[in-house]
Amino acid sequence: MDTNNVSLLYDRTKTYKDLPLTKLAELIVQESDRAALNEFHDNRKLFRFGDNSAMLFADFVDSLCGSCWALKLVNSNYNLLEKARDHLIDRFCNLPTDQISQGPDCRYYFDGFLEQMHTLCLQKDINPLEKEVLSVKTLQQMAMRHFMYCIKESSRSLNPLRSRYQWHLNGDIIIVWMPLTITGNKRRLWLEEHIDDPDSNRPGEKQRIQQIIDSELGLGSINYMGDFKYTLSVDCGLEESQPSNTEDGTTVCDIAKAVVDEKAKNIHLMRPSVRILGRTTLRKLITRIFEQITEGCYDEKKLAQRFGLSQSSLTRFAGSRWQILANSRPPDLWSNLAHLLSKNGTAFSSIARSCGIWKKVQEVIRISG
Amino acid sequence: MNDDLYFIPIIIEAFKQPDKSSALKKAFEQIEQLGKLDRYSQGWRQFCLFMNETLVSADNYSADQLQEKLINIFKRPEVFDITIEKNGIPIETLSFKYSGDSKTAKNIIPGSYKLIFESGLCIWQGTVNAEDVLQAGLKMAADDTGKEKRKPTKTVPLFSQAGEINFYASIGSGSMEIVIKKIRI
Repeated sequence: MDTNNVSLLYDRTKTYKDLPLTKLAELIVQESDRAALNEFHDNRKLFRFGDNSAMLFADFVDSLCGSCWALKLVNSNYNLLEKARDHLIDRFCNLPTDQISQGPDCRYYFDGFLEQMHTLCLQKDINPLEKEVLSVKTLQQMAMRHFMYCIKESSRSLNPLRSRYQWHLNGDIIIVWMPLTITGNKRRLWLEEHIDDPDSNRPGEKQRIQQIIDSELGLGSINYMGDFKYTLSVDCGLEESQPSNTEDGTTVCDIAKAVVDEKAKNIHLMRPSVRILGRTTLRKLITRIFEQITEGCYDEKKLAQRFGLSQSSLTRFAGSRWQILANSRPPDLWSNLAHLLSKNGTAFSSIARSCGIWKKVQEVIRISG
Repeated sequence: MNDDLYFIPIIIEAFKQPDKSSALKKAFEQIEQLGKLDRYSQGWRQFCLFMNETLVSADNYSADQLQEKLINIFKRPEVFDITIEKNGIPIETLSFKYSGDSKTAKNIIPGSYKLIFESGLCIWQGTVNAEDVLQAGLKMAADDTGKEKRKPTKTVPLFSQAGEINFYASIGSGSMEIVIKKIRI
């Protein structure tokens, strides 16, 4: 990045909203212009998919991470998905202004966008409108690509068996993830022995090196002893589950119990805001939610207060009202209930099909597009 | 019963019954019947998304297939919007296809106009005068008798030959036809 470049000559009397996207990106990259970054995030509706109208970057990321397919891609790991979402937003929002700033630097990502635009524009003779259309298309593709990278990056960072290693290479640094079993100087020696012809300037070099590390040394995983009983309770099936007693002596039915067990088992996959409750409190919360819904007195606000959650956290977890959009998904608990029903062997899906429900479901989803 | 989640207690109740298949069938019928009532219309739509989730969950995809599916779903469609602003206030948004398109905005009266591409970029601004969009009563009457094609009162190029704007006059207010050439990207 050349911060001394004065060729931009941006006319400050003009408002940012008149600027083409590439000009905004240049201001962000070359002048660390926070106002240009704000213009990008607050006013530019650059992203769209399906039949939706154009939307801001943050709304696009929310739609992406809120889709049923993104959750499936991360194996229903809400924690991983939330981390990937945060990483992605940081990559396009974080503008370090001093030496102590942490996290990614959005200037590198906007610079990557400018480089790509430069290459594409050299190949085509296009008018300014076509250039702007190409800009928004390229940026959306880039956001998608980085979302996939962020899932990988988050997946690595959530693995307690690995840590980052800075490999100093001819004056440059390549950051990779390595198993904790290899420590200190042994990491450098391992890399020198196993990575042929490393070149920090080669595009995609970091990914290449990481792939070699992953394939040679594996990713590692932890099986928690405490999970065993929960696995058993779920695997035994819904019919064999016993009603559980809650603190006020009422009972919940089998299916709710199965959801409670599954959530408690997989608490490490949940969003940090809910995970912080711990297994015991989480069990109580889910049990209480099912009880209140069955009794017709579900009060999200009071329940959030009682369990020390913010209302938005409870809404994301088990909200009673949500937006119906194609490819979106219900709040976490209902999504989890749906997963459980589809896998429980009671032919839930085939009965729904025989009742003609599927056709109607697809129609509503399509209209909601 | 919570109106928006009315289907959950019904499903839970069905799972408590000894004959689950029959109970579930009845449960689905009940959910559908209730869903027809205004009170449960949101709940019915939520039930549909919930059921869709069971479908997505049951399908087995590899990581590569899921990644491809996600990329396809969130791929940018080959359309874009242009918003017409009059005196700084948005008055109409028109959608255009990459393949080349033309759209007409009616009720155009004299004033200061801007055309804004959906990214926020202004692609045209100018003043629309009375003679561009307003027609005198006598002339209108004469034109109405003939069948010849309407001719624009003015044509202006749009954003370095990306297209053009044609203005048409009529009584009270005129129209603005925005023509966008094929997007070659």
